Amino acid sequence: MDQSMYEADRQANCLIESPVCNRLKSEPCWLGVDEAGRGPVLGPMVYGICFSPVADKEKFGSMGFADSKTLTEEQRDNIFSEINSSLDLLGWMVEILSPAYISNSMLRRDKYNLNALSHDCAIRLVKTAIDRGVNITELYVDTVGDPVKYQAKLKEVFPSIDVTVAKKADSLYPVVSAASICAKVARDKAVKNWEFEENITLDEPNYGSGYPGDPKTKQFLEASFDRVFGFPNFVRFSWSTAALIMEKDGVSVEWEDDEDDEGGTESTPTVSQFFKKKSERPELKQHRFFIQRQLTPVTSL
Amino acid sequence: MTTTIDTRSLLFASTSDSCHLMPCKVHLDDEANTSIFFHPSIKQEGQLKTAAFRGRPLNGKVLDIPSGYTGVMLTERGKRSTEEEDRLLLVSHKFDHFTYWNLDKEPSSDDLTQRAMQWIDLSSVLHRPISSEESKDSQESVKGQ
Repeated sequence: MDQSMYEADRQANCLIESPVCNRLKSEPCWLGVDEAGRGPVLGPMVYGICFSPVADKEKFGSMGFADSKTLTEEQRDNIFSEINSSLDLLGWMVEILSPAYISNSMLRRDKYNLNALSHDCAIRLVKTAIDRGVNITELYVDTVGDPVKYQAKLKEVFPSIDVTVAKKADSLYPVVSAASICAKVARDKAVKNWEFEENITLDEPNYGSGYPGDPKTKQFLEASFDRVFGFPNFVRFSWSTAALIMEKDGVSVEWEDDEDDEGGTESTPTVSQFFKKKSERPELKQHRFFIQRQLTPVTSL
Repeated sequence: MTTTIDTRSLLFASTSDSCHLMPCKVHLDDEANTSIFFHPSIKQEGQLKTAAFRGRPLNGKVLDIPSGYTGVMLTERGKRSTEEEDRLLLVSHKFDHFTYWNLDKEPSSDDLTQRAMQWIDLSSVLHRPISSEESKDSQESVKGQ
């Protein structure tokens, strides 16, 4: 899988797609959606889709796709090259969601959660396939969150498509398995070829699985930590593992939208305060021009 | 306690091309690895910039220091042992522009910092010496009302 476009800017998301043969445009197709790298605190999350004519379901099923998690990396690579030599039977697309995009989305002012982000990415990919002319009649999706709600959401967006959202769809429907393999191959490659913009060179480029519980991943997080900036943008800052390290070992940072913990101190004044004698000389007040601009005279530094 | 800014140090201060006003308070007064961790995240599209700090999205814009003014960074030599001791501050860097950053919001003229800069124009008008002609005019206009 050629990822040179992603490697040119690892902060941005990137769409990579196979050619789409004419059969996929003229014949009704089924399309599978799955993701790879949702849990890890490191690297991009990748969404993948795979599509093929409904008439060839049997032939497609015999290609030996299985849930990408049950396969070794080598097996996945082999199947992926088989996928690419069968482009008269199928097509695929992946979208690489960069860790910077994931962090920024989840940590913006109005938090964009991972489920919503995942749903939107799946919808975007299916729409892109439709834009390329793929004639989709059946859609199979591995669920994220509640399958019933997700299915209703997809049906609303794609009213003319038969939508099936299921848990473990990647082991139930070969077209979803194929999508999961494309996604996993893309995720593994992106992680393996990661080059740090932050000029970090590791003696041993081993991040482990990227899952927060993995000792190698923990080691990497500690080694790459900076007390002011936190981590290189390979790390998902929005993961609690990363946030906890920043809170514990990092310099404290206050944001304007931080929730105020000490809200109670300046609570409603007591009734008696209204009857207090006003001080003789009212304090000189600044003009609101200055108050609004938070300008105050400086008398000492 | 008096605070003195040694203005002669302005002559020797180096010019900084990379000054950032962050939308958060970082509780540290020390050097930071900005060139390694912050600068690579900055992307520019037209006048507007984007960047990230601790995973949070920032939107920024370069603001010029108004003409006639100089931006300075002050540093203190040594630490005082008591609160009463006098302070001597030196200008270590000067700058004529800086990047203003908002948290996940495009900079606009409604932002505090940009509005605070209005005071500079206003204050120069307020403090401008009034010629005798002008003062006569304004008095007459008051009378006329």
